[in-house]
Amino acid sequence: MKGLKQIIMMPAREQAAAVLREAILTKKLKEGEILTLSATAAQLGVSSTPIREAFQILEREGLIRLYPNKGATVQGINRKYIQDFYLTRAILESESVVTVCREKAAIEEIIKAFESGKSVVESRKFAQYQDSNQLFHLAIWNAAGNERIKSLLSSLWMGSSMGSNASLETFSNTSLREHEMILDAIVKCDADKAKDSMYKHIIRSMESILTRFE
Amino acid sequence: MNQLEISPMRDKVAAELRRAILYGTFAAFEYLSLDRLANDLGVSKMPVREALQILSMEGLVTIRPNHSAIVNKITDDYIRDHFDVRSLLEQEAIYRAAVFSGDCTELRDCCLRADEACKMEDYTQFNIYNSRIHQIIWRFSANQKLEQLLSQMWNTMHIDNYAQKNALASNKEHKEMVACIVDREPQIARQVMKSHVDRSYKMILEIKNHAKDLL
Repeated sequence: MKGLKQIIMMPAREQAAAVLREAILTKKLKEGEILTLSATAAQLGVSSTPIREAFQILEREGLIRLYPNKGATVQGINRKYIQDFYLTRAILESESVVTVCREKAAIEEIIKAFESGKSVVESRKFAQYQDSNQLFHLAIWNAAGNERIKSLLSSLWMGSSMGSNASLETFSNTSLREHEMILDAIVKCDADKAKDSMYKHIIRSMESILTRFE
Repeated sequence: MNQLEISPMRDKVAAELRRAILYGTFAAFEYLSLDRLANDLGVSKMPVREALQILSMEGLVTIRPNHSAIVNKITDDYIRDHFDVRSLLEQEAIYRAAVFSGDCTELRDCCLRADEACKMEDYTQFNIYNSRIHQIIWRFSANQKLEQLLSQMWNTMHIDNYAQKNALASNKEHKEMVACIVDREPQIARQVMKSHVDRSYKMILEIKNHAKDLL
């Protein structure tokens, strides 16, 4: 249809997987805890199909163990798991911004997502920052145009990388500042700087999450 | 003793369907019925349904509301995207392997046996050692996430080698990689890995675009 832009969202299964992944990685869900399809679906307010799919995704990542009756138990994770997870994400996210710069891809959506994050922070609606954060990264993956990287990065998404030591306000401010540096480098097509800022952004998130493991 | 990887039924089904899609046994936009697939493969419907789910996440099929699926058109772009990422991650893995430089006895042994298998034209054995060599390098990266993604990608688009010339050239690169790991030469290791993955890329493109002539 004319004038209408496609709505960019992750599929329900990936959003559900991201929520559960975050809960496991931040130890809100503890090792050995039992997850059932119906209870999880009810809690997240979705049908059981995306939850079943999300369980499969998480099983492949070694975060849960599935049982034939379709229940699941949470597997234990440690600091090393978090480090491996974020280092791998850093490699892929950095490559994405390099591709955007190299291919001189269209970056309107990235700018728009950044501006939305900025207005959320300026109006102090920090609870909404997470959505803008996701949009910003998603816009970069889309601009980079590699479907495979995009699907791997979706599987490495876990929502907010908030440490135990930060308030939502501090988290949003830090993240937005880093996004600004990344965007600045992208606008200037400075691949090295974009790569470096993105890498640091992800590693900083990792260090922030690791405070939950102390 | 070699570790035995027991892959669940859904992964076996997924592998078989992938091969069929890549080789063009299933045409683009072909309708895959759940019952029919389960029947043809001689398994129950559940693993087929789960396998279609996996293939849908990989972009190979589109799931229909009744759990059947439509085969997506596999473009050259799809294959390029895959190999761009695999190359990136394989290079990262071998870079790290060369920095940490573990015990290379098993790697050397696999290279020797792969050469022997090649000379005997025993490509089943060759392919086992080939994947073993890559698995060890992934493990040497000391990053489980990287290892997991690489193993996943390998399963997604790996076609065994059955041509002696290709196999020998590929194993020559394996030996260079092992030497780089022993000598702690991460930068050179990266370069060798880059051309190595590029070889697979070209081979798969060739197969995809000429599969009909080969079958």
